[in-house]
Amino acid sequence: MDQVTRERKRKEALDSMKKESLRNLILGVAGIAGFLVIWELVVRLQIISPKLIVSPVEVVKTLLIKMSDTKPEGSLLMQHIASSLQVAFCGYILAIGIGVPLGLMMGWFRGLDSFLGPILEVLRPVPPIAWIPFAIIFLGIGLEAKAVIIFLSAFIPCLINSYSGIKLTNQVYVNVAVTCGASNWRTFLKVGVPSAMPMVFAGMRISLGNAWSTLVAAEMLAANKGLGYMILMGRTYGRVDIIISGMIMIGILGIIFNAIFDKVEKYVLRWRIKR
Amino acid sequence: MKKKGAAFLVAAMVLSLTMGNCVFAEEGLKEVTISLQPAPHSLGAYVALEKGWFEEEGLDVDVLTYIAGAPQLEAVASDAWTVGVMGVAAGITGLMSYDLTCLGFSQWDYFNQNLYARSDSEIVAAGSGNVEGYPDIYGTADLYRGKTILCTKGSMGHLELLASLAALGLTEDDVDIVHMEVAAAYQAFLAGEGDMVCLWSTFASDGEAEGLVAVAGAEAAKLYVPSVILASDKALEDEETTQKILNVMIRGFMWVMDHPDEAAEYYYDICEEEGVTCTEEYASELIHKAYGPSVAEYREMYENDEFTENLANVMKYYIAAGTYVEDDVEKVTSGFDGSMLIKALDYYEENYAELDG
Repeated sequence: MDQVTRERKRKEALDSMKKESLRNLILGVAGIAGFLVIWELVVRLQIISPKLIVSPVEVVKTLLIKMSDTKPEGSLLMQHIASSLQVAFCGYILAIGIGVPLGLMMGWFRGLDSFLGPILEVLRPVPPIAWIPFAIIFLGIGLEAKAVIIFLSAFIPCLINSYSGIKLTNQVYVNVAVTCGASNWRTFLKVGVPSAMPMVFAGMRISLGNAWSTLVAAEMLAANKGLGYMILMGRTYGRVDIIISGMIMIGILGIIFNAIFDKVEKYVLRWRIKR
Repeated sequence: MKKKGAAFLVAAMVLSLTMGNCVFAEEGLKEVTISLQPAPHSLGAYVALEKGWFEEEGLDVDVLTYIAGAPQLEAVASDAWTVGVMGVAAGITGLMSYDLTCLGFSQWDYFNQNLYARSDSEIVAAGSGNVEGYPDIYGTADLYRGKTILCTKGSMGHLELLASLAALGLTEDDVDIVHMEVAAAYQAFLAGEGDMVCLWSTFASDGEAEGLVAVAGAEAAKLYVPSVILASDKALEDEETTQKILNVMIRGFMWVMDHPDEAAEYYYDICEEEGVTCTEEYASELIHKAYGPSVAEYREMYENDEFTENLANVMKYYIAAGTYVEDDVEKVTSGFDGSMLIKALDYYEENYAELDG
């Protein structure tokens, strides 16, 4: 196969990938548009009572109003977003910082696994919301307590995936490293950790979703700002538009952070063989 | 034969289990669903239920009990109930966002709705009598400025806080209000969080037992608010049934005022049943304090437009806090329709005033 043919085939493959991406994008946009149209019609035709749900147009109006109006819950949309980001990311970063190294070490060092495993197994099924009373007593009602609630929801997927990821390290690579004279710690760092990275990232992705979904619960603890607080206040004042606006903002921010996470993952794991 | 026997047994078991869970409307009675809260303002309706007064009026009543106004209102949006009793804070939301109609007031709802500080707080140290026109409020405006207050926003506690701040010449912007459910707020405050806390019900009396001091509150700020009886559109479509419900409720409210000792026992039982923290002493104290308008007072309030004035007065605080705007007052006051209440009072005087009194 000459150079020209190879180049042509490469270009064809690239075009085909671009076409597929475009098709997927169009399908995605059509799906969202279709959903919004059905939602709008359901409200306009009063198939569902307007007391129970408002139309997407109303939600957009509310979001625009909330950019410059603090009513009724007392803060602007951007203040809510900033507050929630602070809470969610403090908890999330803490979960990664503790969950990933701990999971990797528990997966590699049996003694640590035997020591911490039973405690974590007991704590694992406890829902983050159940910790709220203790969070208040030991950490108060500030950022620390809310971040810990988020941490508890994001920590477990980080830990378990890191643990499972390193457990799946190919024994052949380990043997090669040991034969070449690498110490256990060096083998852990140079073979185990890189081999576990795809699973670690999968866990971090699950954790990101968990962190966002626990936001409302964390802000139930105590708040005067935040998207979860905005939803709670919408409920208190019977404002369905505010509830849905808060939900949509959590969803949109979730999509944005997922996309950012995708880019980071692709960069960090660029060595990975694509299938 | 064995197979037939087994099939019969299984069928009998299934039938008995299903039937056991079924509730049949008593013959000839009209089925209705009302909603209440385990609070003194709903006690009259609970008493009526216990005494069978709804049945006497031809009603088979199913009661939905809610611990707070928000879920109670969400339920009416899906037609879960038609007539409900709640605090005025939730009532305003009902009138504003759920297009409910206010049929009248049940009881006054400002007892034990207080703002508490720790006994070593500078506000307590400053003593009461420093605020002109409000001799029961402790401290001065300057001492409240910048303080962190734990409060359930959108509740009666929030309303009394707004009224207390207004009495001090302050607004929500002058303090830092942290939204928390009352139980969590009480727990956090005892753990050392916040400078003040809005408490009511048993949390207020428990707080006082723990040494907390009521530095302001609904009574101290002269916020004399009632709890409200609200009806959905569906209830108004069947006026005859709604009138009967209201007739019985008014009878219950009047009975509670005439028999506070017995009513306190009922209240304690309801709290026990619904999992609300209460003691017999507290139930007695609260029911003896809590009272509603008498028949004559109801009539006077109706004639003097005091019902709508009262609702407009509550709105004043929400407007100052930026929760609602001036134009919303009209929506709230126009949601009041006292015509059925007057008929219920007539009915009570004709049929029950002497009998129950």
